[in-house]
Amino acid sequence: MGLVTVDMARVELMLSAWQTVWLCVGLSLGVLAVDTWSAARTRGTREQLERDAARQRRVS
Amino acid sequence: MFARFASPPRFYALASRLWVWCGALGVLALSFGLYLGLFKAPVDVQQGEVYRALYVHVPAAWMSMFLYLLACGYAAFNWIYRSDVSAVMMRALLPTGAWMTVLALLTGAFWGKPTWGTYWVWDARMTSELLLLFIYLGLMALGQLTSDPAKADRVLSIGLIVGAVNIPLIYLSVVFWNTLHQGYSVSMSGSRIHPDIARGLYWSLAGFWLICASSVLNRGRHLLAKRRWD
Repeated sequence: MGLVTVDMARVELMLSAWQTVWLCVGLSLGVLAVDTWSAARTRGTREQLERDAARQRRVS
Repeated sequence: MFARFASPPRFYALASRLWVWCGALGVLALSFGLYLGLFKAPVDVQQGEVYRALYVHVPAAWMSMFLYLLACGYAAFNWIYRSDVSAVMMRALLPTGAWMTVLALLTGAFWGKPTWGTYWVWDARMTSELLLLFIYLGLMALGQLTSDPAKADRVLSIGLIVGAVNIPLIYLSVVFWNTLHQGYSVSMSGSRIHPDIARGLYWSLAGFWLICASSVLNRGRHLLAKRRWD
């Protein structure tokens, strides 16, 4: 068995110009969607909401 | 006027309506900006097609700094007035600001590879932007350190204001030091970007701004509701 060498220059990710642009656009849309989703999740779980609603009913 | 908008019920009602509109308008503005930028703007003579990454990289980088300054403004209000609205807003801005910083760093790295030949160098602009990400993450952790909300708000306000020193450092890093990153193209004195290229950028920026506003308002109203009920 001969020694296997890996040419790192070939392994390195090389994208074309348009692939780079679409990757950046896709990343941006993904990050904006995740942030929107995480903001909506700040509301809390269903159990927390029910507990809070029950507490509010007791107060009012 | 400030007292009027510092009223939690008024803020909650306003934010509950505004976040949906901001989100919808943001998606429209960003779509139009990307359409102009990706399909209508001319090809750059030096970089070719890859320059189009600027339509997401530049708005993300600007938002990362703008959201921090906005959080500092709320921190100052909170320091003076100790209102619930300013406290939740400075907290609500941090995750969105951190996401924008991550996005600016990632898109910058992917843009850097074909133009500079490397994903990353430790130059002043990129290092100070990375420092901003650590500041955001540190402040998010700082806000959770104590269960006493008033004390946590005070600590967070101080942290935010102290960390603001990094913002002019990021902005002026391309002036103070020789960096691989290009100098700024838009300043108070005007823009050096060709109008055909700039049009899509401004729409894209408006889209980012509105979508971030939508997230922050939505997060802020939920945090406010939690705080008022606890």
